[in-house]
Amino acid sequence: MKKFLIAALMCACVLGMTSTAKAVVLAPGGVAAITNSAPALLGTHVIVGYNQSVVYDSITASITQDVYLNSTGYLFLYRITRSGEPTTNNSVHRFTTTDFTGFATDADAYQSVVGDDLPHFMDRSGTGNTIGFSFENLSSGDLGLAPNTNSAILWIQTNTQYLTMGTGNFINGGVKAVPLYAPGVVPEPATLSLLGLGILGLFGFRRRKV
Amino acid sequence: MRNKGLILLLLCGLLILGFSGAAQAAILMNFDPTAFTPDTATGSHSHTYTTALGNVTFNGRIWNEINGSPVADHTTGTTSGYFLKNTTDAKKVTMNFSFDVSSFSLYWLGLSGVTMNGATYDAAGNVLGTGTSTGNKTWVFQSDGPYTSPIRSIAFWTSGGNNMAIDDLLINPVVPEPTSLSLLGLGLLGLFGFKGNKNLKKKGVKKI
Repeated sequence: MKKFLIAALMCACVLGMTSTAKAVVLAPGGVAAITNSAPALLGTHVIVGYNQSVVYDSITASITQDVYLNSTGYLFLYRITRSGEPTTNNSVHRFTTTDFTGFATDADAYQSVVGDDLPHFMDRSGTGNTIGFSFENLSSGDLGLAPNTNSAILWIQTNTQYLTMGTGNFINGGVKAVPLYAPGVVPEPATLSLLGLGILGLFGFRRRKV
Repeated sequence: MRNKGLILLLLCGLLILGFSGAAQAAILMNFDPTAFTPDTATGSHSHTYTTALGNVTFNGRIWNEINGSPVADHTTGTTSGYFLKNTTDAKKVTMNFSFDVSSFSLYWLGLSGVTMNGATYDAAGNVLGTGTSTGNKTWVFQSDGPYTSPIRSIAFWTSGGNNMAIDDLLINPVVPEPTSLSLLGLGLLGLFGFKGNKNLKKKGVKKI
């Protein structure tokens, strides 16, 4: 019986470990520096080159999104591109995306092409819902993602197993919202009954031990 | 004997856990000619789309215009976008899944001022959820689910039989959760535990 319990505990440990890991953990309320690490493009490429044009506040940009499903969950990638604009156009200060409440996330930005603009930092709201990448740095006089430049690849690895349509927001004084793919809500109808069975299971062991 | 049973169960548990690691990806149906054949003839058409999860059988017309005019695809911005349109004969777009669906999202295109209706059903045909949207000649995003029982079919139509279309349907399969499965494993072990007890009692063996 002891041996068995040890085996069960080991199983639980393995389970616990599969849900941790990765580059920069972005917890609710957290702010983190960008480390320029590349995302691991493994698993199924579910959304391929989904594109949205972003026209607002003297900005003509577009955002491309790719989504992969790997063994951890869905991985979201974003790249903002700007071309053919007058250099007098405004810079993009900040990009945020929502629907991450309740999910573990690792995030970073990766300069896949030399010269692509890396954000200065990334952050996550207190509820965990919103994840933001800030291109603006007032102390160094950087106004953000300038006309005719592209952003680094912004990426967020989640443990969600579901995908839905959410929004991305371009924040520049005004806010421009565009539809982007985001984590979906987790349905848990059967979990409680299973928990009941599990508790019964523990009782079963207890009684045998006496 | 009892120990053998336990080891077997443990192995089964590990197997289940192994499978649960490989969640199945959502399916995106964009109705574009790269994966779907446009319906050049008018009227309703029945299609079967084979996916890694099973079949999606749907009725409607895969086409690129509404009331004679091409419509800009919301994703590409070009006027060559294809979508699934309702037809004057059937008036509805319907879709049946051979597998359990947790939730879905889609884009809905309607004519200005036209009210569009949608509904989701379980395997027995019971209504799980309904929704409406008013068309304004632009894509309107809609999301549905999850419900306590899985979705097996969906339908979209307009109140007056006007034209409308859906596009970029993203379908999430029901994914078993690893935590739930470990609880199930514990539960099964529990049942064995009880069984073991009874056997001991019957044989009059003193518990160790």
